[in-house]
Amino acid sequence: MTQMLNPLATAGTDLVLVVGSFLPNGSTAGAIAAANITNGREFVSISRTGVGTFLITFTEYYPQLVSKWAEIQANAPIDLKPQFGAYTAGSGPPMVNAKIVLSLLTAGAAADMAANANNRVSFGFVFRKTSVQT
Amino acid sequence: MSLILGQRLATAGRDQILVVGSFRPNGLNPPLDLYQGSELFSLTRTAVGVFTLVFLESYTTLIAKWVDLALPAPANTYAQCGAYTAPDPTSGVRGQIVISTLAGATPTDVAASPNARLSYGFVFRDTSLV
Repeated sequence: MTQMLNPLATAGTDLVLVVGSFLPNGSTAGAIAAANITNGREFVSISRTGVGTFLITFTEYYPQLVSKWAEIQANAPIDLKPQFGAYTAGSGPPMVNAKIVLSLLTAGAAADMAANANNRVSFGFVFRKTSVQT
Repeated sequence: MSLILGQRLATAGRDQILVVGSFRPNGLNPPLDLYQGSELFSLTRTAVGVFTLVFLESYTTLIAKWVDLALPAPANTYAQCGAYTAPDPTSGVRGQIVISTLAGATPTDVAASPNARLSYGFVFRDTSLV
């Protein structure tokens, strides 16, 4: 058995990995249904706010967003790529949730992705949990 | 010194496991130089610009993933995940995922080069807890 459950080390202190994914639903506006989001407890909401544009709102407040990525899984090959947009840092108290815009682009133009069990948008964020800097 | 060895990466959410690796595409031939290959049951080029990764272990949920294609020179060629088949331990079916290397939206083979390497990462949930 190759599965060895060992902690993953990080170069730097107080880093936390926040990952998730969701099933896009074409031009359907508004919040993505909870059932279509993985690890959804870490996100207050994921909403489609425009053509090919989503707003991800985080549940927790972290002082610094260190790094991030986004990725598309497609049922059939498609010329579509994710790109992050504006990030609004959280703060507190009072609690202000951090948010980030995520767009799906075809040749630089935002485009919707149809609903399909194998059409999925994944993302990952590495935050710093404290104000400690390394 | 910013390198603090021994720090552990926390995860927001329980029972998550990171499976990463990379390999070198080899044109129309089988891929080369698979790193961390012990976590894969197999890696096969199944068609032009199309690879199938079969995972060794059966994890409950695939939470997130990424793929990245390094190339020796800039090109409009990139990697994209395709269909994912979840494992079914009761029937012995292993989880697998398709990864394509695309030029635009067209699967395209990538010539072998020391600097052409496809990297991937998958974050699974190791139990049925959510």
